[in-house]
Parts: sequence; structure tokens; C-alpha cells
Amino acid sequence: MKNSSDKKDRLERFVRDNRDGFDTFLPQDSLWSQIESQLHNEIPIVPEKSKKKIRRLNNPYFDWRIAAGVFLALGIGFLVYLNNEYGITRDPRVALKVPAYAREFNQYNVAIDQKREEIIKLARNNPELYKDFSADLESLESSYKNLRSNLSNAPNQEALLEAMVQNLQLQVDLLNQQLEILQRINKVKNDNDKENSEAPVI
Amino acid sequence: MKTQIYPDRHVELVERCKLGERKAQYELYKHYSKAMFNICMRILNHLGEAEDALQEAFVDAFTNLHQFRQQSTFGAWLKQIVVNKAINHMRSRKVKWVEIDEFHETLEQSDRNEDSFGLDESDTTLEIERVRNAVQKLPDGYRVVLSLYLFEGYDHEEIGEVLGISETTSRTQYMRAKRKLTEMLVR
Repeated sequence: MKNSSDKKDRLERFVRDNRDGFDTFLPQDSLWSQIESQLHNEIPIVPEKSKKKIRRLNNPYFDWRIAAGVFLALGIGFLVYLNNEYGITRDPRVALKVPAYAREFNQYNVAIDQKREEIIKLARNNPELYKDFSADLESLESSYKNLRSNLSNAPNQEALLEAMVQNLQLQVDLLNQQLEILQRINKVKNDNDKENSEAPVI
Repeated sequence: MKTQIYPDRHVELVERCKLGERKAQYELYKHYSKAMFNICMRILNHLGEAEDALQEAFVDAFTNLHQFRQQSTFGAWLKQIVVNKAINHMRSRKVKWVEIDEFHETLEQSDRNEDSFGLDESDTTLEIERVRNAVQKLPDGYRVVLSLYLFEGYDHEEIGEVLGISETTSRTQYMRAKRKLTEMLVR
């Protein structure tokens, strides 16, 4: 603490050499028992303080953790809604490049997916027909992909977007027709089945 | 000196105290109470107040022991608490620092004085008693600065910090206190 090179006078040297001799006082023997009794009292005070702190965090009307949880849930819900409406994860290139069209494109895409699933279901016992159907659709799809890949460097974006919408519309129309055909085939089949099953009864 | 002989024993004692072991607390108290009490006495110069300060310091130290991280020795940590408690007691008394104008002696005079007082080192016990009594007779402000510097080994920067005064004030207060002390010893 003190610089030892400090010029020390006789008093300082004397005190340093006889440091212990200066400690002549002794506290009363009873002092420890007083300290001990205070330590007993002090111990319950500490948890009380911490309880108060905890209670302040646990306000019955407001809890940060619940508030944060609700906020998070709302945020995630909103993001999921946006994603469903605009198809951000389904087709991020379109959604981010032309957000104004994203919703329209997404609606077409959702409809196309639904119809395809239906066709897959209906055409389960007619794999050859399904192959033909999907070949027709594939050509439309590849041209759509072509249009989409030109989206960033198209000179007339409006025209390109219109072409894309038109393409999607064609896909939907095609799928509708395919569905109709399938439904008709199935109906004929069902009627045949009915006739066949009814015939022995008659 | 005793602190240096059993440093490891104290680390263990402190750990036991942290767990709230009363016996370990008593052992630390027994070991340090005398030295710490004398620090209080030198600062406060009053038996009752010194005991109050010592009691508060030990209660504080044991209840806040979890804050002690073994970065210094337990003794040094405790001493800090004791000095602060004693000074707080002193503050409540409102010490008045002795004004600069009250002293007109030149430094030459004091230099002459410093080495001329008769410390009869053949009878050390008697001399210790004389110095101790003279320190007790110093005005409060002088006594505190002189005690912290001379007995507790604080430097003027630390004294300034703990008392809330400037380093220069501490230095001049110490010079004057020592001058006054040597005057009393010469007599």
C-alpha cells in the first residue's frame, strides 16, 4: 500500500516496528453474544427481502413471461397466416419479387394442389390415364417455370406476370377438365358395377 | 502476523462460515476481534462507539460473506468493512476538519521537530504507551487520518477515498497531525 521508499521518520519507524504493541484494547466478552443474537435475527430478514423481489416479478395482474409468450404466439400465428395467404415458403422467388401478385399466385397454386390431389385419388385405379394427365400438366408447368425464371430480367414485367397468371389459369382449367373426365369415367364404372351387382338379384 | 501463519485454515473457516456454521464464525471473531477493535478505537476514540462499530462490522461481514470471493485475504476484507463502519460512526458525529488557517508554523519548524522528539527506545513499552496516549488526544480529524496512514497502512489516495476528501487534504492533514503529535511527545 505504502511506498517503502517513502522517507520514514522516527515516529513512522517506531510505529511500524512496534505495531502489535499498540493494540492494547480488548472488546468486552459479551460482544460476541450480541453479534450472535443479531446474526440469528438477521437470517430471517434475508429471505424476506428476496421474497419481496420475487413477488414484484410475480405480479398477479402482469407477468412478463406470460406477456412474452402471448406476443410470441400472436407473432407466429400472423407469420403462418401470411405464409398461407402469400405462399412465401411455397414460392419465395415470386412472393419476394412481386409481392402484389403473390396472393393471386398463391391462390392458384393452392387450387392446383387441391385438384391434383383429388385427381390422384380418383385415378388410383387408372394409372395409364393418370400418366397422360400429368404429362399434359407437366408441359404447362415447365412453361410456367420458364416464365418465372425470366421474372427478374424481363423487359416488360407486367406482360410476363399476365402470362404467368394465364398459365396458372390454364393449369386450373386443365385440371378441372381432367377431374370432370375422371368423374365421368368413375360414374360409368359405378353404374356398370351397380348393374352387375343388381343383375344376379333380378 | 498470525494471519500469515494459517492462511489455509482461514479459507476453510470462511467456507464453513458461508454455510452458516456458528462455531466457525466464532473462531474468526476470536481471531480478528482484538485487532479490529483497536482499529475502531483509534478511529473513534470511544469504547462504546468502537464496540458498536465492531459489532455492526462483524454482523455485516457474516451476513454478506457470500460477496467475499477470496480475492484478498479475509482479514483485509474484514478490515475494509471495519474501517468503513467506524468512519460512518465518526461521520454521524460530524467531524470538523481542522481549518488550514489555524496553523501558521512553517515547514522548516516541523522538519526540525520531527526528528527531535525524544523517543526513548530503551523502554519501548512505556514509549508505546506515550505515543498511544498522545494519538488519543489528537482532534478527531487528525487522529483518523494519522491512524489510517500510520497504523493501518493506507496511502493518501485510499484515505481520500474512504473519507471523501482529496488526496492533498489527506496529505496536509497527516502532516499537521504528525506535527501536533510530535509536539505533544516533546513536551
